[in-house]
Amino acid sequence: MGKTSKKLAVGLSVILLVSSITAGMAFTQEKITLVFRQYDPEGLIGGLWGALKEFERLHPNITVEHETLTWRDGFDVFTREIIAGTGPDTLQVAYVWTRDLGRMGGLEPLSSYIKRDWSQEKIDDFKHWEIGVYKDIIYGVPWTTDCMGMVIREDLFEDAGQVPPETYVELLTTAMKLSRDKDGDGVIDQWGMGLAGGFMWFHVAVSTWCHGLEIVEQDPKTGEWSAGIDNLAGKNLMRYWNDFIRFGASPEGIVSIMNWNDPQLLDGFKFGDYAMIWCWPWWYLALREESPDLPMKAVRAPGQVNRYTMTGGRELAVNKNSKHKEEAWELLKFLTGEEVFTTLGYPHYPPQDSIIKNLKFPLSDRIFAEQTLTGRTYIHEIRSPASVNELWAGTNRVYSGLLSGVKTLDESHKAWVDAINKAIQRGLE
Amino acid sequence: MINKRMPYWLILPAILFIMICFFLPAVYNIFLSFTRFYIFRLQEGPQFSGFKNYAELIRDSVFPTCLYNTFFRLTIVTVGIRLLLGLTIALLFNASVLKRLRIMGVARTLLLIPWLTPQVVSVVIWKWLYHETYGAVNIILVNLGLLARPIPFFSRVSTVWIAVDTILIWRELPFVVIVLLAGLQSIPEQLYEASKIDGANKIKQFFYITLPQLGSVLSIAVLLTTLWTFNNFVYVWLSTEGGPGNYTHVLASYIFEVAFRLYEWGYASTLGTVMAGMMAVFALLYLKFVGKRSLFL
Repeated sequence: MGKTSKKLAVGLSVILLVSSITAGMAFTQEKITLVFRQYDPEGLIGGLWGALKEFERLHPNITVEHETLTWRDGFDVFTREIIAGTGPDTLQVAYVWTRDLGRMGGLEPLSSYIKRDWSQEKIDDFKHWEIGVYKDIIYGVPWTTDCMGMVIREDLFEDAGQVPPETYVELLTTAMKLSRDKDGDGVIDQWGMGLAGGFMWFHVAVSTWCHGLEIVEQDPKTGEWSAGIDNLAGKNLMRYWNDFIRFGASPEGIVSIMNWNDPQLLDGFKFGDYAMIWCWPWWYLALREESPDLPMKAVRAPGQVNRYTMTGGRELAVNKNSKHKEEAWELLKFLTGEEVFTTLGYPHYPPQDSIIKNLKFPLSDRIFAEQTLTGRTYIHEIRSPASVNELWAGTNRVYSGLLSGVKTLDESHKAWVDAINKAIQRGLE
Repeated sequence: MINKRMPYWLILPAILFIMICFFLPAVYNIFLSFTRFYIFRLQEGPQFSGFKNYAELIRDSVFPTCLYNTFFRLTIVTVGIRLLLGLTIALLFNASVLKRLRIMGVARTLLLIPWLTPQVVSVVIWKWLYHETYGAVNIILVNLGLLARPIPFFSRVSTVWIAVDTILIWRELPFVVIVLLAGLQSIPEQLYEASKIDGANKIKQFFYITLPQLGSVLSIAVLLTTLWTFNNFVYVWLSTEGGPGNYTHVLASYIFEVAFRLYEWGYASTLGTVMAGMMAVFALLYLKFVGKRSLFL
């Protein structure tokens, strides 16, 4: 081959190489649209949409469309999308959903992405990694953490000469003393405790743990799982919650309240129908913003043998069906960054120690933030064969039957044990 | 020359649509009823289990409650009340007094308001109307002295079905009224005139002319309202989610719970198949014994 031919060959090769590279670059600069899904109403997401805009600014080839569903529908809708091969690219999931969605094959395994892009120090900064793990694979990254806290009306407590309860025994007796007929017409119009009688799961789970029991337990010798409340202590716990209605600490009407954010509870608290409610921090903040002069205070949840409240939160995950997994992962990483919680104004508590320490909480919110860090997650229930969604559906159904008198205490206890054992059995099938 | 196959070609798109959207899913649902298909084993797909689901249905302690609630408390009670009330209102609308007072237009508009209200909104409105503290129903009843103290209608087993049925009847009554009114207005006036000459009073006219003439319309109204009520989900689920306990669970709400709260799609399909079978049997028997006589009179 002559020198000219060689030069020609080299020149052509270089041209080909440069063309391929630029073609590749043009391909990666192709406009991508990601879909991001979350479940909180507009009033509770602060600067989240602004954060997405900031992500778009940093990634000019990516447009992010956002969609909002309700928490109650989120899991069901996504499971249908898994089957249909559709769904959002990056999605928010509840702590208790990640494992179930992972084992259904709906989420992209993230272990390799995390290992590739994040240092060990950054990984260790997150709390609650274990929540999103199934068979040693990570399917979700913790995004926010929160707890259910107790909120009281200071003025009603003062009128009644009561102090915030420290134990579950005090919770019931204090609530009984706070129930009053204020206008003397023979009908109680101020109740001690507001509860979602149709959704008792959160209360039941937390009080179970605080009484030294477990909803599900594993035999250390045989490894078999079963209902941990199949005993007298479990039955007494049911009796305890039933006593709120029996002894007039809560009205009968709570049985028809199906959601913790039901206006009957939140507005009822605002109008003085209830002296105490339990709520999530964002509802507490919403109440405070709506009624800044309302004499209310967040207090530590009571304990008994133990003193916990329930720590839950949101995770971020990538849809297995996503056609842009790398870009979806980029969005996920961005949303877990400090900037989103600080300057961009996403109002929830991050699960990273390094970020939460730099956030300034008003004094009244600090109780929520502190309890979030010391609370207990559902990791024990998540690790059992039963789905947490099923445990809570069964528990809610059984307690609503008990509180309304449809079933006796014995019948309700048996039904509760059966529901938990069935959920375990289904998970093992 | 007429192409004899043309009509079949013309209805082919509709048949394809029915096959794809109704028939095939129904067949798949029947297939799933013979499988164990737990959502968390999605990747394994449905596992054939023979008649295990049907055996489980027989042992299911919630199913009889749902059956009773669906047949009696939801369907028979509300269909009966709607027919009686609907016929009464339709007769009133058809009477000359409203025409003389020139308020037919207003009356018809007021009648349609519930029908125009979305079912979800109807439930929300009535839940607040029945609220123990702020609900108008309790306030009115207490102020009238009919109640000593407010009642939590949706929390008590003695009142929850009254509350649920009220919502359903309020929302669905206009359909029955409109159908029966149309039937009444199609009855030839000459029949009434002839009966008057024969000495028939209003009551005899009602039983010997109005009711028989309304036969076909009534039979369609009964069939449709029964089927729509039997498989109704919205009113029960949105107002009580089948509670308190399982007290207001009906077949439709129980199927939803089994499928989307307990994630047992196989068993949910079994319940759905059985429910569809019941409706099909009812429709066939109804048309055979009642519909035929009324429709082809």
